[in-house]
Amino acid sequence: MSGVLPFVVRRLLAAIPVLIAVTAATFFLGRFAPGDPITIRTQGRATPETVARIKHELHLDENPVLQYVRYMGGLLHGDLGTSYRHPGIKISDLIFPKMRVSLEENIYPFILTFALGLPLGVYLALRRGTWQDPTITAFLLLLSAIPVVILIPLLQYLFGIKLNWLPVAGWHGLFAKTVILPTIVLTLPGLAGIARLTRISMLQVLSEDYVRTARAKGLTERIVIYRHMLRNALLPVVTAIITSLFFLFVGSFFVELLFGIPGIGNETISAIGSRDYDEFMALTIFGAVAFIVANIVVDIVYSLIDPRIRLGART
Amino acid sequence: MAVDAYGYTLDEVQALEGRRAEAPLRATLRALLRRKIACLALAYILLFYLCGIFAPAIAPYSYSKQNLSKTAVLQGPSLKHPLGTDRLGRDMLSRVIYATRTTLLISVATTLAGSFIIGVGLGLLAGYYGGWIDSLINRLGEMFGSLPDLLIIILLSATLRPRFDAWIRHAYSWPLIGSNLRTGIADIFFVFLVLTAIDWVGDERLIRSQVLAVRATDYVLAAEAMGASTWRILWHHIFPGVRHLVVLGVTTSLGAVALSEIALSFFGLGVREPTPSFGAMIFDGSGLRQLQAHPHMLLAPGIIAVLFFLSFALLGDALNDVLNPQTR
Repeated sequence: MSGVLPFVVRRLLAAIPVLIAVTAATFFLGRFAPGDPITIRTQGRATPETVARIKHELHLDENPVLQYVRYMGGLLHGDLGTSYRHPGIKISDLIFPKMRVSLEENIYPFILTFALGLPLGVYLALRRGTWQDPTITAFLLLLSAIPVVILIPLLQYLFGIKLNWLPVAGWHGLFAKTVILPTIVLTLPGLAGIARLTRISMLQVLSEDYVRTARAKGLTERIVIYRHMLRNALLPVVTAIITSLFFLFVGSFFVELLFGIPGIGNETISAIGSRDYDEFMALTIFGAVAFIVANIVVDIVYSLIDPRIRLGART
Repeated sequence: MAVDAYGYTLDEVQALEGRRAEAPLRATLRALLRRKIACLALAYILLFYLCGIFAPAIAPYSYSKQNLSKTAVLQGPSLKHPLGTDRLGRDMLSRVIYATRTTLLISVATTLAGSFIIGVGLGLLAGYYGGWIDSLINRLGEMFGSLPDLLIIILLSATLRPRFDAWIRHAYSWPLIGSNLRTGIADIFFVFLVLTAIDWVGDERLIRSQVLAVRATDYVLAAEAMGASTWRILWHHIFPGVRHLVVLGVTTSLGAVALSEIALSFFGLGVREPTPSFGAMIFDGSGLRQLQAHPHMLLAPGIIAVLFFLSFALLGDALNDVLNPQTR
């Protein structure tokens, strides 16, 4: 394990150009788009002179390259900038509460996906060759094949209007009825994915020599499955768990839009729409950093679980 | 019975050669077509695409012809309009048929350009050359891969679209192509550009990892030793070894691009009225009051789209099974 620190440093260094490219692309795309946050915010009520004055105060009339350098300089000091559409409010104060909502919205689906998907995948692998395996797999595929834009209205109609059991939309935290429908929608695709991943992974382990050895020396089937197979088959599943951990606070656009959940997804859409440059910069940076860190952590965990995998070895 | 120099009968020789000569691609397709579910899925996808190609011949009505009389709008299914009519009295069946054409155009063009040309091309280059070319392509992929696809698509569409539209309006007066630009082809072209920008990443990785394995084989070494050109090695020696993965990549991409197009059009950032698209039609039908009073507005395009995505899911699953035999 001596190589962890140099490995992390090397990976972080390699990530710098990617981060610079992603931030620059986001930054200049925003500036390239027609309209600017001040004009959109004032909605024509302010005179052109006022708009020009505000833009000057906020340095929005400078050369975009200079603006980019200024923003990145602030970022290095931990300053994510100030919102243009909510004057005076810091970006961090604006997006962290939204992240909390998105985290809440994702927490049940995260738990359910793995708590149900893993056993289901093991079950499917052990039932290979029977009618249950293809039937359940096809059913899972059907569930994950329904686009959310179709699934959500149908669920809302069925449970919200026809049966009148659940509220159609809204958000009142983790312990209100409003959490149920979003949880169903967010769990289904992941559940199918994890179950199939676990199944494939189990089947790949099935043909390994150590499984045959374990059986040959007379271990009970139970011990073979749980000690020898499952532990080794878990590797890809662990990757999926870690990756989704980092994306817990990233909201789903459609789920938030159609259920009216005030999370990151909705915030992103409105930030882009009103050209709140600094805000969607911050959101992009969070997304990209989460992705990069998740990948590094996955590689480290891989080498911890499976000593045959060396850190930093190129694949 | 005729035997050859080694004492094998003709049947035996053919059997042996057949087994040895079967390329990964043919073996994959053969195994795939042996599965009933995969054939069924493939048949539905082909039917869907054929509808798109022959839309003008099949569609009973025009997709944009309105009939605003009270007795014509928002009608449920009937003999005259098998899938009913929408709120402007347009025939839903014709609109769905033309929507398959939109899906076909965007997903095939995007997959060809992004997944096939850029993705496979860069994957071959990255895997074969290694070094700084590999690093550069990897970083480029990470750039697009480091954000959720939908976020990139929405960001690109929301920022570039207005400029693109303004630019297209200038071209309306151009001879020959000007009149065509008004028909919605410009929308389709823009969605194609945006989706192509992210579509190549997955395929590039898939192909690259397999190229790394193939380039280490003896026959590639032999080709290099004989002084074959890089182009020849890539195309004649390495590409045949990764073709079966290209099939997987293209299949995945066709489904994923169609889904992204629906997402974009649902948001109003994709293909716009009057050009029919599944995203916009689903959006039209998904209002809860609409759904209560006129369920056919969501169900007609919805069921056809769900079956389409289910077919791709089943086909992809079957392909994965075929490519990883031990998981069958």
